[in-house]
Amino acid sequence: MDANLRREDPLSFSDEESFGLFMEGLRALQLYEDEASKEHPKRWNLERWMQDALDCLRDCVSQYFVDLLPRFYLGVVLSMRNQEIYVMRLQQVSSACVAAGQYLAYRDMSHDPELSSQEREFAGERAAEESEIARPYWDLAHRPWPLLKEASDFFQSLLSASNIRLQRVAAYNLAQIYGRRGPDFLEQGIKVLDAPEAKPISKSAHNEAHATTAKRSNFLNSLNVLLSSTPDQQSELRERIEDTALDLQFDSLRESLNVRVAARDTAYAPNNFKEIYSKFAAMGDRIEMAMSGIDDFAFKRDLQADFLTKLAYVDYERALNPALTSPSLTATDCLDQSAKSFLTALELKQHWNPAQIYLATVRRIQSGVLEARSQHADRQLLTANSDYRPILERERNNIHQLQKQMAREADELFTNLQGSPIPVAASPNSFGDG
Amino acid sequence: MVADGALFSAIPLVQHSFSEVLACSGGRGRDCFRYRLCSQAPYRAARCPLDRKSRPRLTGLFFATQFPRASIMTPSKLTPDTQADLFAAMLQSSAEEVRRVLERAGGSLQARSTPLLSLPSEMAARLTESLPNIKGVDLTGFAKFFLYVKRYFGWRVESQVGFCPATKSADGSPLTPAHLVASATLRSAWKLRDGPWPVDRRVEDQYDIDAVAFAIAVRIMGINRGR
Repeated sequence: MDANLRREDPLSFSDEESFGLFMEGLRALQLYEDEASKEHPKRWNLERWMQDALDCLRDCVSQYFVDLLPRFYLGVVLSMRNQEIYVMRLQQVSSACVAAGQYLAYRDMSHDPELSSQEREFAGERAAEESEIARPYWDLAHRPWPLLKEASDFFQSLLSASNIRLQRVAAYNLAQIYGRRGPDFLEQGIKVLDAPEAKPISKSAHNEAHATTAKRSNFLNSLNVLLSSTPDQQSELRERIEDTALDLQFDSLRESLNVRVAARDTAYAPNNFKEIYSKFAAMGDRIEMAMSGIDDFAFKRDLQADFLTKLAYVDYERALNPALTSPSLTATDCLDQSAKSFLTALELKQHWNPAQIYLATVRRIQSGVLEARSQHADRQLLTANSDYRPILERERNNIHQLQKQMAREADELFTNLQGSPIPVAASPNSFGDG
Repeated sequence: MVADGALFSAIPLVQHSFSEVLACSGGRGRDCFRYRLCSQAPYRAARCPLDRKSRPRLTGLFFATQFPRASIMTPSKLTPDTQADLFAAMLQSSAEEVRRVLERAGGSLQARSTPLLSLPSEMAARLTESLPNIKGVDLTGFAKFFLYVKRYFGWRVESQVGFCPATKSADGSPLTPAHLVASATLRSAWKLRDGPWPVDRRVEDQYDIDAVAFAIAVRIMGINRGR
């Protein structure tokens, strides 16, 4: 991006057409979000609003590249579009995703001290087979994702904006996108978060983010003042709270990227993963303390849901990593933990797409885990004596029921994410002559 | 519009003098071409009456010089099956929607469908504050003449809207989708203040007006942007 093509005031637009296209794009984006957050979104509406948002913002950016806000929102819309494509790809590799779950279950079994050495050996062989079947799913993480690349270019170009808040928000979004682009980009995300453009707006705001006790009373005071102050004071307070919330977001993202780097590298060189993980998990308490005084703000919910989703994603990655699981903490345990956090995030922010996407994935993997366990129960039944058989049969049936439930939940979530297609209208003849 | 034509025919008597006043670059004293022109006129004074300092006083008597609010006049129908009244009503609500969209953009920390952050609230608030008001839809037309005259000298939005239905080939397969074409200008008295802003959007039918009304409204409200 050309650094000379830079507008001093990020709120100014080249002309009415630029402002018009930007606002039309923003409106389409909001209508898309409204549809996406419904219990049963319509695919036609999702496609229409996404296309409108992309068309308007792309037109605006190509015709008026100097205007900053259209670039910011085009980055947001591109990452949303990428999210849709990711969901489509996940659906395309659904059987590989189930195989990944079977691989994890057999991998757990291959280290299970309660099984015989023969059973463990068999489980190891099955794990290798299933891992091969799951290859299309493993390869998803290493795909290029060109829309994310494009979005990161737009956010990168905003790091030199004259407005410090816009700079920070763009830096956060850029780091978040690096986090989504795969394991090879995690360090770049951390680098962006530590860059001068991403530094806290004021030292006091930054300090507040760390002094939890002081902060709690500050927020309570802020809330009291907020209820009884003038509009100017209110907006000033809101900005302060927003800055602090943003600091927490930065810390949360930084810690999550750190823990993902540690998880990735521990396969090659054991490191202090547990310590880094604990530091990240402690972010939840920091957020809770910081936000305990404000109940009415949507961003309290945003912060908590976002943290839980990041934590759940780390647990999911942990499940996949053989170096981070053991008989005492199996991949199945990590997946259960992950699903629980995703569900809590969805209680805070209903139908929130990022949490829905990963919960759907985890549920599908869990259905694979249960399928493997069901197969294992079948094998046990073949050799079991008649006294033990009814118990084993009951257990197998329970596993089978649970597996069906997981698969159904995954399917429902994926259907909701992609939107339900418009039912085909019945032709007049289908009602019959009578 | 019919009403415009009727009013314009009554205006030329005063049009010359005031249009000169508005067009004057001001402050050139005796070198000013318009000073010599004005010396024939009843404005003659020691200082050029078309000077910038005196201009607001004159124009202020008759014209709204700022754009604090504008009235929407009945849109002209470009095609018979156009829903012009609906369009006018949607135009007004769209002007409010522009504010709502901006306020919502700054209302939460995150964009709702992604973990990415939304526009900072301070920026959204500053954008919203700078928007002018679009108030009142005049659907009465020429019938309430005096009300119209008042609005004529204030700021007003004039618009045209037309519906182009979808076309189909002989075998019934769709050739082109339905379109709604609209255009608007911002005027005060006979002066064109801004625009035209033409907009052409694909629609479902002639009642699918909201996107076009929003597109027009946001261009009107964006006239202060970048200036």
